[in-house]
Amino acid sequence: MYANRHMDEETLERYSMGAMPEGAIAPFEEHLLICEPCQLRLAQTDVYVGAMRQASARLRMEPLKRGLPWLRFPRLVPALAGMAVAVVAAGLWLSRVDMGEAHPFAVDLVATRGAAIEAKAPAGRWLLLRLDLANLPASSWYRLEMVDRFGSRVWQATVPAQGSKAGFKVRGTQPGIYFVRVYGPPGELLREYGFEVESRR
Amino acid sequence: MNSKTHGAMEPVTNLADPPWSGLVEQIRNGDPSALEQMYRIFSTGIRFYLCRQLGPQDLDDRVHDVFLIIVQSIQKGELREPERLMGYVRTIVRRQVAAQIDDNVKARRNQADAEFGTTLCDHHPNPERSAIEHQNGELAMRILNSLPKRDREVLARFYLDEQPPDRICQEMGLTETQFRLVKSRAKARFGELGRTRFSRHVGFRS
Repeated sequence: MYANRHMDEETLERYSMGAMPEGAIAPFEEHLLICEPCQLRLAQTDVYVGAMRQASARLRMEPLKRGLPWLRFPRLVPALAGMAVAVVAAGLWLSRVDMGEAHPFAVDLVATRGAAIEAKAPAGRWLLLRLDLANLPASSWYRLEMVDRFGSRVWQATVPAQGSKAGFKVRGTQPGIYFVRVYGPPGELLREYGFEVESRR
Repeated sequence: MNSKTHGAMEPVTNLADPPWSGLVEQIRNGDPSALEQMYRIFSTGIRFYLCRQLGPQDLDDRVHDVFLIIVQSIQKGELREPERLMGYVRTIVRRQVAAQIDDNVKARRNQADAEFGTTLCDHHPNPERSAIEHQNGELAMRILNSLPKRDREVLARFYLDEQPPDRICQEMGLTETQFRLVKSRAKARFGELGRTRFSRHVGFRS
């Protein structure tokens, strides 16, 4: 497909964003192996896509910060935390019912001691994956990538950091082991979490 | 080369019908010049792919390991279709990425005191890269702030929310041409403002 020609910008962008159709990836990557101009253009595209994601995320957050300063008041934190617990509890109680994207199944991915993959999630349900970003290099945003056990990308997005936490929703997946990779703005892999999606009984 | 448009780039030659069969045969025979040629052809691309998937840590070692696997498997006769050398190299590189992921998981499981989900890389801040990344982010902010609200929303939906183009067009009442125009203008503006930064390598070159 790309034997005698370079890749167009849209193709590069689709690949950069993980949106390339499965059947198109192999010829694309084979071309990329031996074409330095396209490697450089993809690297430039990665930079551009990352910068636009970062800027878009900041712009989305900044109006909220400017318009709602009362949210920063410390006395509201316990109340908000209580609301969050109630919401999570309701989500857990309804865990066997697929409520769609509006009511995802919450999965906490944290750095804990232990040898096994502890985080579990039901197959086929929207998931709210909540990451513990403590001790990572500070950043206003991170790129997240979810891959299966073979390293094939399932999903990716850029999410703003909320203190030492970040959360994102993922459409229901098939049973199996998955990993969520956290990349910093320069593109370096910072952390990887694992969780298991189990068949619903 | 970095700032050329697609139409102005030199055509890619000799990729549709490269002498892969001859090269593979020479490698099987242990010809050092063939090994050098294959390294010259593929090493940058392998390095680029591994860096993009796994980061820059231990990149030289990983590239070397992959190259060694490729050469050894060719010499063992495991490449049955020499004309498919590119696909074969790609397959091996992808397997190495998957294997690296497996190794990371196993290493965590085998360590009694391992903290699951701890930082994988010995990440030290790279001031130059941080500065470049910050500058790129500021450039993008400047561009977005200069755009109409509608165009900002289009770009946020596409790059941040990763909505498909047809959905964006349908929900925002845009034609495909209008959508592409918004994107291409923003990207062109980014390129104009940051042309000197585009000329820097991004870490995958040795």
